[in-house]
Amino acid sequence: MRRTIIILITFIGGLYYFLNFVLPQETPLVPFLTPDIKFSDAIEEIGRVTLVIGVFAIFLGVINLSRLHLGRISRRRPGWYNSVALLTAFAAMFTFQLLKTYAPSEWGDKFQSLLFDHMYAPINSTIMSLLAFYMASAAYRAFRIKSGEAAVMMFIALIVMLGQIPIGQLLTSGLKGAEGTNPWYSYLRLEVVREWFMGVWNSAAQRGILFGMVIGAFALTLRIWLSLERGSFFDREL
Amino acid sequence: MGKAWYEIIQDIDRRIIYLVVFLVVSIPFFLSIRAPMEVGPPAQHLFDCVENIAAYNKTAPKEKIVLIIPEWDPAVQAECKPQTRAMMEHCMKRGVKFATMSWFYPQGVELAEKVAEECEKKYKKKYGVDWVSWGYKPFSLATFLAFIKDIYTLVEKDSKDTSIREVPLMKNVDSLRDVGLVFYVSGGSGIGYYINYALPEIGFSIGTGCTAILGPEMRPYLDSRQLVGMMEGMAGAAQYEKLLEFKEGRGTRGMGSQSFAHLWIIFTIALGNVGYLVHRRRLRKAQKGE
Amino acid sequence: MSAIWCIEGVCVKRKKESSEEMTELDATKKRTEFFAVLIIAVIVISYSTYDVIRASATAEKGESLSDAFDTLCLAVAAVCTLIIYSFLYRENPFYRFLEHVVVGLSVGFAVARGFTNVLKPNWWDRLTGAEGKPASLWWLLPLIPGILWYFQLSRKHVWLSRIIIMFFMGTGCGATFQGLYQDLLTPQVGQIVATFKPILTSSGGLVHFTWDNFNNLLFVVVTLCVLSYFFFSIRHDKFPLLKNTSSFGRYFLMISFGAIFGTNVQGRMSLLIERLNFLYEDWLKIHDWIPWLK
Repeated sequence: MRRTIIILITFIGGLYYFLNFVLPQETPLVPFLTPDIKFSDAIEEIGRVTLVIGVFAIFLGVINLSRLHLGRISRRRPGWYNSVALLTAFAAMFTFQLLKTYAPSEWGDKFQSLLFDHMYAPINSTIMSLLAFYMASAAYRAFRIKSGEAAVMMFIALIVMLGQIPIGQLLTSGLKGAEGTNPWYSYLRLEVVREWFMGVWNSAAQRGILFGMVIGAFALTLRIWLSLERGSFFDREL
Repeated sequence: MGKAWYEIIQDIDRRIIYLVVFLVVSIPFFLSIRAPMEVGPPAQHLFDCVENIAAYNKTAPKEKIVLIIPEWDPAVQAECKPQTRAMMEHCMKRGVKFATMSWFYPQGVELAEKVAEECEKKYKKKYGVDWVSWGYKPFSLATFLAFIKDIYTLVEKDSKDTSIREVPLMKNVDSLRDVGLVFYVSGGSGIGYYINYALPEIGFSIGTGCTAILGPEMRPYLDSRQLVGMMEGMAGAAQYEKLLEFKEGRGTRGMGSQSFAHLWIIFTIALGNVGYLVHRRRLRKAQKGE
Repeated sequence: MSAIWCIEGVCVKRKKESSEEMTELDATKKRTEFFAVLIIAVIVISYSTYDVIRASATAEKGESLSDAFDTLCLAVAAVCTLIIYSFLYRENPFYRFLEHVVVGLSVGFAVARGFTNVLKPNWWDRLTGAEGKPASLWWLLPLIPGILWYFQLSRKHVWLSRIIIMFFMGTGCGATFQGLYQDLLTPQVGQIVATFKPILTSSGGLVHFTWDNFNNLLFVVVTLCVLSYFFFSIRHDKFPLLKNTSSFGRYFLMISFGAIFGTNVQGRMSLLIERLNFLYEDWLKIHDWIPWLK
């Protein structure tokens, strides 16, 4: 019974949008009963209602986080002071963000800026920038030419890396023709060769990948909408 | 028995690699290295699109605006912030009005507003007249489809809590058909929603400022002309700044360090492979000798 | 037996000696690390204090506290950056602490924005009639599906939360058909439509094969080879044509992956360059004290 309810609700959830796409634009919302109201006119209200229902979930994350970290603090698990820091940071950011919107003041905005511009933003950017080091280390350790395909990949990577930096472009700047002319050797410049590889070869390969992805997505979408999908989430006991 | 040289060069401690990366990227800051950048077709086409909108606005009865969508957070601001700034400065320089909003990243529109406030001081522009921020709207496909039909169902107030109908810029904007270019700046692939849902219905131009990593994935859309132009990473922003004739843009300043970093990566890959190939050759010789 | 014992004795003695050496080495290493961190901390705090005092002293009348606070904020950002970079040497408690702080900050920001940008203007104001909107009790109805999310927290009634999750999945699926179709088949610009490129040009009654036609032909050939690589409905080893095209497809995919790697390098390095730009130019202000950069 529960599974049937869920299957029906999943189908009804997607039905409006599917019909909105396949039916002609002039189709009335309820045939013969609402000739002036088109089927697609309901999209605005449906959009607003689904947005509101979706946003109610925002507090679920807060509840989960609080349960986990308050538990750690109360049981004095190793690193419990980190949980104190997390909850304090959450409360501070939430408070100052609300104050900025509903009761702005010079020092309130300054503290919000301290939290957002001078703590959240730099920490986030720095964590991402660690990838530069890991990528350098991984390229050094793992990029080995063990086959023809690896050699092709390396060659193209070299062209792309050199073609997108000014020093690389300087290497072949002597091949430029006079102003307004395009002699045959000017097409051998690194940036031109790079653009050719990116715009033709890479673009074509990516399109082939895209076709496969879209067809796979279409099949998966249909399976989920019709509740035919199997897996740990969909087969769970209700 | 000590290691052979080809084994040593394959196995340098990772912390030494990190230190050298740090030094290599730092050197250009102290030497102030600047090198000229060639402008590629994607950045050029995007630039031409905005120029065309500026030219159109001079004679048209109703002006077109640019919609800048900053879908980035501080993690990718290294590439996306210079791109957003370059586009905003271009619009302000040419008198093209723009609006900004985001769907996926609330931080994006807040960071972009700060960039716009810095630009408006430089070009003596005013919020509400020359640019407006529609704020952050949490994404759901339903709301996006409703937004395409009528922007005022979703955008009731701007980010400063003013009724959107009272903003002077919005008096000339009835729908998305008054948008000449959507400039989507992002480290993700949400641009698909604009290409697949909005473009067939509205027919505006779409350009993107994407992180360099996403550049290859965006190329099929550039080829099919669903995208009119693109700024690809920091280099794309540097190319756009060159077209705007800026000498000290953030994108341009970063290209010296980029150059050194790329050369170092090429060197380390070559080093590792030389060691590997020599090692493999000696092993094969030893096996043949046996 | 005795020889083995002796040998063992020597081995045991050597192990003991080496473990004592290791403990001594560890202690030396820890001491060195401690002093290095202390020196760096002293330098950073001294510079930041000097910077704050200088900002306060050079500020306009009435602005000294504000300027000092702004400079302090810069110092906080720089210290956060340096602590995160300390992870490259080794994981440490300071890094862990900041990791937790950033999670708290990002959740706080997201929840606050969700409330101020969506919940209040779209639901609460419409329910209570605030901000010039007419009050309507119909807006109590979304509370019912909205509350279903919270049954995730109940072990017994978790199936109720599945209703709202699957409703949103169904909505997403229904709307996705339009996106997928238009991605591939929008007239003139859909991906499939755009793959049909002209491989010959005719002008003045003659047929030409230009550089653009060559590129178009290359494009079509590469796309077909890549598609044949992903075609698994027929066994490749039984059809030589498919086998050959799929092996070419693999090489063409390597071209694409090489391009992705090249752009990846640029992307990752940009992130590091931006942080170093902040440290050198915004925090240390090297343009002010290095003569050739002034």
